[in-house]
Amino acid sequence: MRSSNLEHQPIVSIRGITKVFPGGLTANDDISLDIYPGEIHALLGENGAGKTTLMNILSGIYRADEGVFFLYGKPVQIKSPKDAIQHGIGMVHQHFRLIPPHSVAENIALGLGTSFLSPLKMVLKTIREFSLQYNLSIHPMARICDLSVGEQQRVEIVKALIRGANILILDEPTAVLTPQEAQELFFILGKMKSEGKAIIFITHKLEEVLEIADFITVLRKGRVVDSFPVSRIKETKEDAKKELASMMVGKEVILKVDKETVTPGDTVLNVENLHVHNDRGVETVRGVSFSVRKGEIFAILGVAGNGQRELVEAIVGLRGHTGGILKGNGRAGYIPENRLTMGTAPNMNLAENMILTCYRDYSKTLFLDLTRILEKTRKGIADFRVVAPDVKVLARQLSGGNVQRLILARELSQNPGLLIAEQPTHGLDVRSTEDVWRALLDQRKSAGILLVSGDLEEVLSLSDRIGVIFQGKIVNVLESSSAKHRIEEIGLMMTGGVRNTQVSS
Amino acid sequence: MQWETWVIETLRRALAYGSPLLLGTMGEIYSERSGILNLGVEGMMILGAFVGFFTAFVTGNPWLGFLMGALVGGAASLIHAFLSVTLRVIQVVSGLALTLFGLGLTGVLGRGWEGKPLRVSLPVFYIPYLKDIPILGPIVFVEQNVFVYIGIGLALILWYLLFKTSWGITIRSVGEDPATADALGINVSLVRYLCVVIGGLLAGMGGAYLSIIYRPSWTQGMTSGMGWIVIALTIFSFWHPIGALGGSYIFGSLFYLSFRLQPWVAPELLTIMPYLFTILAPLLLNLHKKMRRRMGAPAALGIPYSREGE
Repeated sequence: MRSSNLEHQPIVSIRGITKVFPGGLTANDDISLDIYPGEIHALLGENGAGKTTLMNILSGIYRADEGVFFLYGKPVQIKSPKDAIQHGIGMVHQHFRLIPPHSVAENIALGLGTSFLSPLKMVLKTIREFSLQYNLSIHPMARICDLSVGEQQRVEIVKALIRGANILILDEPTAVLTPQEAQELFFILGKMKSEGKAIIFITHKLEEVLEIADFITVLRKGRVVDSFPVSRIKETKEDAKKELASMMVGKEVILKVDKETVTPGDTVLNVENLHVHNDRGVETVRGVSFSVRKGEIFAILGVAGNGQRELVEAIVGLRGHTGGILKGNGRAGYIPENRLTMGTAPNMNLAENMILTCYRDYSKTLFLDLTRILEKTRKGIADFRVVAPDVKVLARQLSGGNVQRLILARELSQNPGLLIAEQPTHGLDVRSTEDVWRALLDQRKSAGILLVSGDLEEVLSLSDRIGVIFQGKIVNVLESSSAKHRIEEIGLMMTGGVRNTQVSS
Repeated sequence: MQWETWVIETLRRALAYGSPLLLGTMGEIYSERSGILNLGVEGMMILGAFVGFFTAFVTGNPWLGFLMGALVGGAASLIHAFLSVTLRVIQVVSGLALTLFGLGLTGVLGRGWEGKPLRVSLPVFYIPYLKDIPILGPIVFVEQNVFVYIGIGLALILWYLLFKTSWGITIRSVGEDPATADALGINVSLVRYLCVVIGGLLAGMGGAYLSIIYRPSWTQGMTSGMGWIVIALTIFSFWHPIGALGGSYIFGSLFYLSFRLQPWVAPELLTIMPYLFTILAPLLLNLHKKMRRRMGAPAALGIPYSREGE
C-alpha cells in the first residue's frame, strides 16, 4: 500500500520551517516533512514539542520566520487562514471555532459565499450528502451549544470539507472525545483517506497512532526526530509503543527528581462529598471526598474537563459549592492553570505582581513600602531563577516558564500551609518543569500540596497519593508507590474504563 | 364603549410617538449585533433633528429633510466607527463623546432657529377599506404619517436581513465571535463599519422625525433623552427588530399617556416611566450570564477586535 504511494507526489511538502516566538522560545526548528494523499499522517510529540505551532503555520494562523511550503510540488505562500482554505487546507482546532448560539447550518454557511436570500439551502443539501457519505449524524438546525463535543467536532469537519479541504489537520481530536466518539471519528477519517484526502493527526497518544496512522512524524523540542511509514515500526504493539515513546521523550530521561521521605502531619485540607456546578449550571463535581495532609502531595489526576477546574475554583473560593464540606487549615497558596491571566496581572510589573497576594504585609500606613517590595522581588527572582532584565518589566513580557517561576516565588515565600497547584508545568519546557517540580517537592516539607494535573509522568514523579478523577467523581485513590505498577489500570480509570470504586481517604 | 375608543386612540398615537424610537432602536440593534456599542444615539438623533429641520425649512421639502437628517446621522456615526473599530478605543467613551458633540454642536448651530414653525408637512393617510377592519383598522390605518409605515416596513426588512440572509449570519457572527469570522475570511472591520453606519442613518432619521413630524420645529435638546431610551429598548427588544417594534410602541403609548392622564396623574410621574425603564434595562442585562445569552446579547459586544499578535 505504502510502496504505491511512494511514487505519488506529496500533496504538501514542508521545508525548513522555523518559528521563534517573541518570548524567545523556538517552537519549530528547521522542520521538513512530506504529506501524501490518501494517508493519515500522525504528528506525534509531547506537549510543547511544536506540533500545533507547525500546523498553525500551515493553516495560516501564524507566519513562519523561515521555510516554505510546496503544494503538489509548487511553492505557495500562506499568509492567512483564508489562503490556507483556498489551497484546500482545513484545520480542526482543539478549541472549536464555532459560534455557540448559532445553528449548525449557520456556522457552516459563515463566510461560504452562499446565496444571499437563502444562505442555508446549499448547506443543508451538502450536510445531508456528507451525512450519508461519512455516516455523520448532525441536525443542521440544532444550536451548537446544544451539541455534544463529538458532534461539534463533526461540524468542524464538515466546515472544512464543504470548503473543499483536501488536507485536513486535526489537533488532538480525541482529547475531548469518549472512546465511542473516537471510534466514530476514526471511521470518518478512514473514509476520507479512501477518497484520497490527506489527514494530519496531531496527538501524543501512542495507542491511536498505531491504530490509524499510515505515516508517523515524531517531533521533540521543535525538531523532527524521525519521519517514517508505520510499516517500518516494530512488530509487536508493546515494542512499537516503547520505540515511539523513546523517540518522543528522548533517550535520556531528564526528569528525574529526588523525593525525600516526609512523614505526613496534620490535615490541611478536608473535602467531603463536595458538589459544584459549572457556569452552565451543570454539576461537574459530583460528590468528591479527599484530604491533604502536611508533608504530602496529593494529586488529582484526570483528563481535562472532568470537573478539575470547578473543584479547584471551589477550593480556592472562586466558585460556590452546592453541597458538601470544605475545610481548610491555615494560609493557602494558589498556582492557577492560566498562569498569565489568573496568576499575574499581565500589565503590571514584576514587583507589583510579586505582592499581589500579600500587599498588606508591605504597607504599614497608607503607602506601600517600596524598598522592601523591591528587595523581596529581587530575592524572589534570584531564588527562583526568573529570567528578567529588571523588576520593572511587565509580567506579560516574560515567557511562560518565567511567569510560573515568579508565581512560585510569590506564593511559596508566604509559607502557605496548603498549596494548590493546577497544571503547574503545562506548556513549559523541560528546564522550567524541573524547576517547578523541585520547588513543589521543597515546599512539601512544610506544607500540604494539592496537585491537579493530567500529566501522568508528573503525578507519578511528585505525588504521594493519587486520586483519579473522572466525570466529577474520584474513581480511586492510590498510593504512589503502588501506582507505578498500575499505569495501564490508571489509564483506564482516567477514561472511565473502571468506575465506582470510590475509596474514602 | 367610551374606554374602547380611548384605548384605540392611545394605541393609534403610540405608533406615531413610538416611530422615532423604533428607527433609532433598529439602528442600534444592527450596531450592537455586529459587536459595537454606540452610546452616541442621542447625539446622532439631535444632529438628524436639526439638519432635518433646517433642510426642510430652507428647501420646503420634508423628504429632503429626512434624507439629510439620515445622512448627517450616518456621517456622525463614522466618527464612532473610526474610533471604536479602527483605533479600538473604549466604546463607551467614544459613544458618550459623540452624544456630547451632537448636543453641543446643534446647540450652537440651532440658536437662530429656535421656535420657528415648520410649515411644510408630510402626507397623513386614511387607507380605504383597511381602515374599516375592526380595532386594527382605526389604530393602524387612520391618520398615520408615512414614516409610521416606513418604520414597520423597515422592521420587517431588517428582521429578514438579520436572521434569514447570508449578510445576517455574517453580522451576527461578527458580533458573537469576530476571531472565528475573521478566520473564515470575513472582513470584520468592514462589517462593523457598515453596521455602525446603518445605526447612524436610522438614528438620524429618527431625529428628523422629531423635528419634521412629531413637533414640526426646532428646539435645543429636543431629543430629551430619547437616544438613551433607544439604548434601553435595544436590550428590551432582545436585539431583535420585531421586538423593537413592540417595545417602541409600548414606550410610545407611555409618552402619549403622560399627556392624556395629566388631569389625574402627575405628568412627571408618567414622563419618568420610559427613563425608569432605561435604568432598569442594564440591570436586566446583568442579571445572569446565561440569561444574557438567551436574550440575544452579542458575546463580543463592546470588545474591540484585533488579530492575535497585532
